[in-house]
Amino acid sequence: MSITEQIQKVKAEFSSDLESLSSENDDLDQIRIKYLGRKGLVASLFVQMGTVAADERPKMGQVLNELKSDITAEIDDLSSTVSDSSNSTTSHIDYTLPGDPIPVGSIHPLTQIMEEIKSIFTRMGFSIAYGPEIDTEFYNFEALNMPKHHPARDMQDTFYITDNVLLRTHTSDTQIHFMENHEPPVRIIAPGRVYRNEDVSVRSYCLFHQIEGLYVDSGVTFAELKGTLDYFARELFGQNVKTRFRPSYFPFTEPSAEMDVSCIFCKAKGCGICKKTGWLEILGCGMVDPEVYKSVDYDPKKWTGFAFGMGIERMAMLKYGVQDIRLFYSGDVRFLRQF
Amino acid sequence: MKVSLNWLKDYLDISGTAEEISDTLTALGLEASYEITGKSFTNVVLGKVVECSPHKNADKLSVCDVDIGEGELYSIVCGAPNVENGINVPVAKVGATLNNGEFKIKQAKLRGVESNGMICSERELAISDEHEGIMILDTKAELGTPIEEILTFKEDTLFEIDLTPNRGDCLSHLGVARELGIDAGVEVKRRAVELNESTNSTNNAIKVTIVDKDACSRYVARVIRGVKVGPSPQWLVDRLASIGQSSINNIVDAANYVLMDSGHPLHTFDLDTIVDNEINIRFANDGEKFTTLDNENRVLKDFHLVICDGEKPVALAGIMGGINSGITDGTTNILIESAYFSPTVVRKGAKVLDLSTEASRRFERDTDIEEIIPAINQLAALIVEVASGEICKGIVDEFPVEKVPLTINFSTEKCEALLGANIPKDKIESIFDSLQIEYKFQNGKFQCTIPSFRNDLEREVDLFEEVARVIGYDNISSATQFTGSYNSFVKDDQALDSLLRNQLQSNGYHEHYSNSLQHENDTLHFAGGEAVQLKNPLSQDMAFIRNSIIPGLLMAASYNEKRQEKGFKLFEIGAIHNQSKKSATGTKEKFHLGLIWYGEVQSHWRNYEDRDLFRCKGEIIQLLESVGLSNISYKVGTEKGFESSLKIYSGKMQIGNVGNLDNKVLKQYDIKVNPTVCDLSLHNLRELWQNRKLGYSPPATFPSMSRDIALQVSRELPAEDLLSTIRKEGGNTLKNIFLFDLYQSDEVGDNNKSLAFSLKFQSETATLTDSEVDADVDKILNSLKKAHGATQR
Repeated sequence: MSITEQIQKVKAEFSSDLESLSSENDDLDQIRIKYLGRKGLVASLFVQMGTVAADERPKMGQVLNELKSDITAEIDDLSSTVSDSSNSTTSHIDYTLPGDPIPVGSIHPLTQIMEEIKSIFTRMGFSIAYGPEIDTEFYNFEALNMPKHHPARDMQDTFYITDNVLLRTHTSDTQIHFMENHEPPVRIIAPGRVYRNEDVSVRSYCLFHQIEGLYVDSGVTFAELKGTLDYFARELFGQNVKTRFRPSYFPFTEPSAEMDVSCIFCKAKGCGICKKTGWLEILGCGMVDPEVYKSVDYDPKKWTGFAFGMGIERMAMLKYGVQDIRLFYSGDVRFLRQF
Repeated sequence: MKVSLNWLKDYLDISGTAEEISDTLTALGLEASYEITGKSFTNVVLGKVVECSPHKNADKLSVCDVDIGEGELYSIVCGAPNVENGINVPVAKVGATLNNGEFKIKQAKLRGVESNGMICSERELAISDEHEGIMILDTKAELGTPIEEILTFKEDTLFEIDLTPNRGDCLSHLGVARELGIDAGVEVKRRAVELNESTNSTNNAIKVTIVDKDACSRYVARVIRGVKVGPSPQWLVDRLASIGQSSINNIVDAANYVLMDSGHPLHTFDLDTIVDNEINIRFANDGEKFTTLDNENRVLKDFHLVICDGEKPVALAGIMGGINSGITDGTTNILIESAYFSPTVVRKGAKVLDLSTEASRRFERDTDIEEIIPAINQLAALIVEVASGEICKGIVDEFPVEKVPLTINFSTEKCEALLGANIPKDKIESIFDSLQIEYKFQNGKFQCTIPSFRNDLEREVDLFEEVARVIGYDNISSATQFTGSYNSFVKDDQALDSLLRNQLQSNGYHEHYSNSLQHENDTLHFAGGEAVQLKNPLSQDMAFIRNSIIPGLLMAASYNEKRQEKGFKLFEIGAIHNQSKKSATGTKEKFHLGLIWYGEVQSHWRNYEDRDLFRCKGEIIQLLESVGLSNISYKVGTEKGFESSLKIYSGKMQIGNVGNLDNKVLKQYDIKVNPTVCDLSLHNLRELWQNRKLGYSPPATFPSMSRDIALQVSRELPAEDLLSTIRKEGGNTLKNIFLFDLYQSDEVGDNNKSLAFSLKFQSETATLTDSEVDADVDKILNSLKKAHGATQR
């Protein structure tokens, strides 16, 4: 018998052996030994390779290897079904029982918005700086070009601790602290908690959070202010939002502006949230007023820059549609779980 | 501030829709919104109540038969108390609309009686707020005449402008009209005032002396004799009503009109109350008493400027007149004041009295010194027009300090450099023209003379803003290039916080933000140093700044407990403050991380977590290890506010406390289930994290060996004592100690307990032999016996 004939014979024998197989595992093990064992039929065929002509040997080797892997695969296949069916008779597990509840927590919506804003500005090279919540009149007002009896102080009702010490009314105090301790160029954002002496209601709380921005270098322009904040608005609210800059007034910037974005709820058609104007007021900004440079010993002839500030609660209320600002500070887990 | 479109049209022709005008104002920095006022209804006609009888099913309703000139009578149900037979009333017919189409009149059945229309009140027709009863019309017009033919409804647009504090010049119709003129490229036109003066000289009627000249640099007076105080003519009533002001009498109305028109505050005195016919302007004496027009007794400070007659103050300069010298029904001779008061003097004076008036708001924001004469002449002419009388000849004009118009140099190059835009010279010139800024071009710069009404323009940079404003901010292109400097980067001191937040979130904690303003009681429970108190708190509940992170978490726990929440974990990261003499503010700010474990995990078919102190100890270690802080240990402590507490250490540095709270504290917050609370110093954690050592040990190449030991010790002995002895005696090869069993029962005796530890030994340099490990274990057991009386079981 030639080796090829022998291969055909082994194949046929294997098929008939499988057909006559009972459900007992032992039979399958015997088949495994008969064909794949050290002295099995497949091994004996490999031994005969020496008799094959040298030029046919590679081809024959391939045929034999295929035979071996086919037999191995079929036996493995059968052995797994055999063992499964035998196990199922000994125990029953209900895999539909609920899995272990692993409750996930939440990061506060205000933190989430702050982190998102921070990441947008850090992509533009802004570093992060911090200022104190309790500060002096100098940092909160005077150095920001708001001397005593300035009408702009009325825009911010202030909590006082002493005549001179107060809870900061805006994060703009951080501009002064930072510039006092660093020479230009300066490119920072400063997130933090600020306080206003206002009655607590659905729309206002005695404290809230702001992010301040400051960029000072030689030759910084109003056009760059617009470019930076345009990019910010698109990143935060979507690539299709439009911005609008309109003149405003802050003692520490000149020119001063308010930035609006086209209403994200009605696609600028006019709705209740944008008070039918099609625009949402987002932030205040402007070119740093030369008076501010004087109070931190920067040369106003040499440096120009821009600053901006925005309220985090307002952003969060817009973004998540929160109607009552007090929910942010309630600690109500039914609220927090949703973020 | 409210501005009427019809009124603005006195000054210039305005085209465009209300929305366009509103947008123009907003783009110029006068943030505006608008509403259209005037006739707000359709299909309302004159009717007569022919017969009025009580409604059979309702006490307060009447059923009226109304004639609206159509032959048949309409039956209308009416709820007004003043309805009666024979009166003429406005009737909204079926199909009529009210409130600009928002409300439609339909045929209806009211308590079983058919009603074909509605009899209207003044409010329903947007005539006034009157809605107590229906409107009764005194007219001979034919029944069925449309109401708008009987009453006049003038269409108007009312702008509400949210003015920034620098633009005091726009607190008037004249000022807003000037701004619209910038956009339209036209100058406002002012009506000429015709004054018919008598031969009596003003100089004989009044003498003015300014004592404090810095506070009042100009004071002008006029006198009108023989006026008749009475109601204002309808046009004046309507004008004031169009911006929401009610009419008082012709003199007061005239002064209000000029104020709203020109923006210059004027004051009128009853001349016959002015003792000695003299006016002296001086600062008040400290403690001087004065009763203002609103009948409030005021105690003045020495920085209040007062207008006095020969004897006493008669007005609080620039703020409010006195009750002793105001216009009354019997007034016949009037003194008009038009003056320039220092903005800071008025502001300081008004602020300390908490008294803000239309006049003080304008003086505080600085007034136009060139408007003093036109305004006083306008008022004098108007008073004569509406209250008759004759104007004395000439004015008394005390003008001790001249105000020179300001000149500012303007460089186009610097303006372009700041704005980042190219602006041609002729564009700059046209902008200056539209702003009424006079200029000369010399040595490459503009020399600009600022008009007297723009007190806010003081520096070159203010003019840069004007240029940008008139061009339109939206017409300056955004930069497309991004530049930056490596020198601007600084390290984020608080970068650790977000790592902690992420770990806490994935472990089931919710982040909480609490109010940092608290009641004094909240600051007394925990060791936080003396709390900082507010001078002007909103309420006693918010009079102190928190000195511990824990109370905010307890308030949240209490809140949630009352809302049937059975189990939750919260954390808060925030600043706390206490008093400190060392700092400039007298306070110290510290950042803390607080954790609270409340209640239980909900029962589950495979209970897997107990939320007790041991679980919490584990989670704290997990949290800190997740950010690379190792070597965490606990020691029993006695922390204020806690019933039982442990100090938490990282190496030798204490970083916080954890434990269960005192019952007194729980009662304060009305919490029934005792939570576990942890307070960590974030400053310490940040410092440890900044200095944490990075690195690793190569995985061991030699096999490890384990030995279990079971020890019987006194029940009181802290496990930590056993652990530290094992650690000490185990030496370098003892890699791990694991308590795998704790056993307390009769078997080991009432006073004893049994602890079983698994010890793992391994060497980096050789394979340990059984005898080496056995020797180590013997050494450990001997020491445990000697130090703690521990016996092996």
